[in-house]
This record gives sequence, structure tokens and C-alpha cells, in this order.
Amino acid sequence: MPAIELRNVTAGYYPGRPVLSDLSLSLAAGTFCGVIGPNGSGKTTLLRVASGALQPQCGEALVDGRPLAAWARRQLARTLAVVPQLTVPPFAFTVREYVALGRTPYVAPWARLTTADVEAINAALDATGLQPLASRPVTELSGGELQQASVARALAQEPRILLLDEPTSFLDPAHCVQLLGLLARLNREGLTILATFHDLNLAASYCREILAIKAGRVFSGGPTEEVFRKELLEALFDTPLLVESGPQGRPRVTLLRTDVDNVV
Amino acid sequence: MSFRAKGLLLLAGLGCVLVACVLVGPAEVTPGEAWQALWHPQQAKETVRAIVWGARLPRVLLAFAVGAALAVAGVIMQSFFQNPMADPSIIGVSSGAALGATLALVSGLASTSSWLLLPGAAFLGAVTAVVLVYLLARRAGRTPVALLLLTGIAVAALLSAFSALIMIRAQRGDMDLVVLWMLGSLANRGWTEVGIVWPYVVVATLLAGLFARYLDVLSLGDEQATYLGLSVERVRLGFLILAAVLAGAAVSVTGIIGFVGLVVPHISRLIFGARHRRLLPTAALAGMLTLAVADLIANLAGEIPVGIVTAMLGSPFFLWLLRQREVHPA
Repeated sequence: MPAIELRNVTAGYYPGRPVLSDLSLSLAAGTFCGVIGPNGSGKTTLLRVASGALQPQCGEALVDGRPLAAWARRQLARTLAVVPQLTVPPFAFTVREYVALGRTPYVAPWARLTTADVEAINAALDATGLQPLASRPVTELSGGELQQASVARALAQEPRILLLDEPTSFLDPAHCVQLLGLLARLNREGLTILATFHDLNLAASYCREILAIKAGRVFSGGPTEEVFRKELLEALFDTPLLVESGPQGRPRVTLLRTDVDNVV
Repeated sequence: MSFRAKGLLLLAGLGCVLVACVLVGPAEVTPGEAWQALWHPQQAKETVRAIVWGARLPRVLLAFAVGAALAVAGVIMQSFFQNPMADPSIIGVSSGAALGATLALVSGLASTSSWLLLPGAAFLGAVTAVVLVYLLARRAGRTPVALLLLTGIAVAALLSAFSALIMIRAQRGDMDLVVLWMLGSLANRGWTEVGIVWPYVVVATLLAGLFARYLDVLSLGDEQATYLGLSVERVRLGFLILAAVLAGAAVSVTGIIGFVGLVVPHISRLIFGARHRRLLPTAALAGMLTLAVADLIANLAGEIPVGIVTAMLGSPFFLWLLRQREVHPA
């Protein structure tokens, strides 16, 4: 049974102007899938539909084989967590308090956190390396630290499926490698991951599968090596590039300048 | 300082203010006389008993209720709008209450009919305005925060225009009454008003406190609240009703008192942290303290409307506070 399935989804924010058009996909449980595509191709909208934040205009989205409409919100939040694009919280919660909000689907609003809750919060703080910053206000974090806090909050939900929207966009190289390494480890332990990427090489390095979308439709999809081909990526992004075999046996993409003659 | 120590300090401050409000006033009452009037009223002098029981005690209790209501409503609104600059007037509470009160005063019903009519009309106006804002901001089963905010501003402006129109068409004396009401005052109220407001404040504050964690989640924005398992629309509607009832109840008996709902939650958050489980009760206490002190000043300054005091002291303090804080890109 696929972890996430979209069936003929048409979705958007205004009637008559769909961002996704008749898009279908099926994501096997246990995969690490990267979504790539040009700006405005519908990557974020795809995550919104898959997570139930946006109702499709046509078609349906399923999680664990069950239509999203049939899920109780609270139950869904224990199964599927989302790390959205970075937003700064308006109030100065401490990092620990912020991460603790990931336990919302497990505790009654008036109840105290249980030992299990505290353990999940500590595990999330440890995994993301945020334990030393636990009592810092989130409003004083750097973009990268805030991104990690957001991931930690999602991990505190103890989900089986994790969706991430541009998780590396604010991270420096060291933090990128650290975060994606963490995701790869969690994936090996059984977490299903669907993440959008701007950085093609990071996607190529870490993802088992790639979903390429363009203009709201699936352009290509499959194992990373099959999608990372020169002709395919050039057609996807409408720009010349090179795909080589990089170190560690993963494809490597080099963008080519178009303002000078290309000598390849 | 630990949270507990800060909380105890706040409670102690509240006790001091309570004592001060009973002892201090334009009329001379010694602490001994006040003590006697409080605990052995039958032995106290008639005048002292009237001052303590008839005027000062109900007045400070009303200040407590209204202060708590405004502060808690402010806390809810700020989380609701994910914005530390929000307060209940944003969703039309003040302008709605003002229109209701204006109609009651100008029509002459308020002075002739029962005492309930003015607060009743103001409360009705406040709640109607909020309902109107909510319905107008609704799109296909959802009420986006930005839309709600802008709708609130538009509706408030419209209602204020109606109030102004009625006022300038009214007779001089009625107009004075309306202006005075709009400035907000705790003078010449009594146990009746205390009885009207306290039940609302207690029930609504307890309800908000039970769901305090949802205010934390709501402050992250609709989308993230959804991801954390909240039925956002339902939760938000619940809090909107609580805030409208709290602010509406407060405004209905005192008129419009500004800045408490804005400044008190803000300062409480700096002192007690952002988590609403702690912020809600402490902001309620801080609101009680603030309004009681402001009212004492208003009383001693020759019975000026307390709304003037809260604005005159509140805004400079708020400005100072903003300058103290490092700059945050909102």
C-alpha cells in the first residue's frame, strides 16, 4: 500500500487557475523521494495537497490508502508531519517549547505532558543537535537554526511520513549535510520522506527516488539515476547543463553559462 | 527569578493594590476605620461603611474584572492574529459597543428604562459587530486571518461613522453622555455592574485557560496549526467568541478603555514567557493590577475617565518598551 497517493489531482488557489493539473503519483512506504522542478511548477502545492492543507478541486489524495477526508486531523498529525517553508514565529517561545508543540496531537490541550512526550521532545532535540539551544527564544535563532527547530518539531510528532518544503534553503553546507544525513538515517529506520529541493545535487545525493514536475504535471519520476539524465533535466528546466557521475556514485549536475559560448 | 516567584510577586502586588484602593480616595478614611467597616460593618460609622462597601470595594472589584477581561481578550487576539499588536478592537468590539451605547443613550431609553439597557445595548453591539466581521470574512468555509483583519478595520470604520452621525444629530446633552461613555470610566458603578461582569470573566477565562495550548499552536499560523492536528476553523471560532464575550462584557459596563488589552499581554509575555498556559493566568492578574492602579489615579486626579489614564500612561510606556527591545523584522 502506498504511503501517499494522489489520484488525478487538480488543485490551486483560484477557480479556473489550477496549479496542479490532473496529477497522479504513488509514493511507496519507506522511500526518500525528492521533488524537483522549475519555480512555480507546483512543488509546494503538491505538498499542501498531500498533507491535507489544501483541498484538491478534482481528484483525491490518500495517506496509507485512506482518503484524507476520512482522516481525523489529530490522527493524521500523528502519522504525517510537515516542515513548511521557513516562517518566524511571532512570539518568543523557547526552542524547547516550540518543539514541544509537536506533541499537540498526543495530549489534551489542558493536560500536562507525559514522560513519553518529554522523551519524544528530547529525542527530537538531540537528533537535530538543538539541545544546547533548548532555552533560547526562537525569535533569536538564525535561519538555519530555526529550520532545524522546525524539523525537530515535526520529529516530535513521531510521524511515519515526513513532508519537507525546501528543507535546506537556509542552511550552510555543514548544516545541510547534517540535516540530510539525519533524514537519510531516519529513512533507513523506516520513515517515508517526501521533500522538495532547489539544489539538484543535494537531491541527487540523498534521494532514492525523484519526482520531476513541470507546469503542474508529472514530467518524470523514478529512481534518481533514471531521472538525472542530461536531456531530461535540460528539458525540465529549459537550460543547458551537464550530468556526470560524481563522487560517492551519485549523479552530479553542473549548470552551464548561457552568456558565453559553451565548450563542452 | 523563577516563574513561581514572579507569580507570587504579582499576587502580592495585587493584594497591595486591593488594600490601597480601599484605603485611598478623595474622602478621608483611616486604615482603622476601613478595617472596622470591612470586618465589623455594624459597628462602623454609617459614612465610612457607605464609602468602603458602597463605593470603593465594588469599584476595585469591577476594575479587577474589567482589567482581567481586557487582558485575556488581548492575549487571545494576539495569538489569533499572530501579531503582538492586535487587541479586541481589531475585530470591531469597541466600535460595535460604541454604536450600541450611542443608540441607547441618544434614544433616551438608557436613562428612563432599566439600568440594564445601556450595558445590554453595548454588549449586543460588540457581539453583533464581531459576528458581522466573521461572516463577512468567510470564504468557502474558511476565514483567512488577513481577510478577517482587514474586514475588522472596515467594519469598525463603518460603525464608528454611524456613531458619529448619530452623535452630531443628537442634542447637546446626549452627545456629552456619549463622549463620556466612550472615554471609559469606573466611577459611579456598583455591585450590580460587578455582578454583571464577573461571571463572564470567570467562565470565559477558565475556558480559554483549558485550551491554552491551542493558543500556542494557533499563533504559528493556520497552516502549521493544521499540520499539528488542530481543526483550525472550529478552534478559532471558539476563541473569537471568548474574546468577543470578554471584551464585550468589559466594555458594556465601563465604556471603552484602551491600551490595557494591548500593553498588558505584551508586558506579561516579556516577563512570564510566551506559553499561554502561563501567559493567560498571569496576564489576567496583571490586567487586574493595571486597571485598578489606573483607576485609583483617575479617581485621585479628580475623577477623570480612566480611559484617559490608561492611554496617557500606557502609550508612552509602550513606546519606551518598544525602544528597549532589539529590532525584530516582523
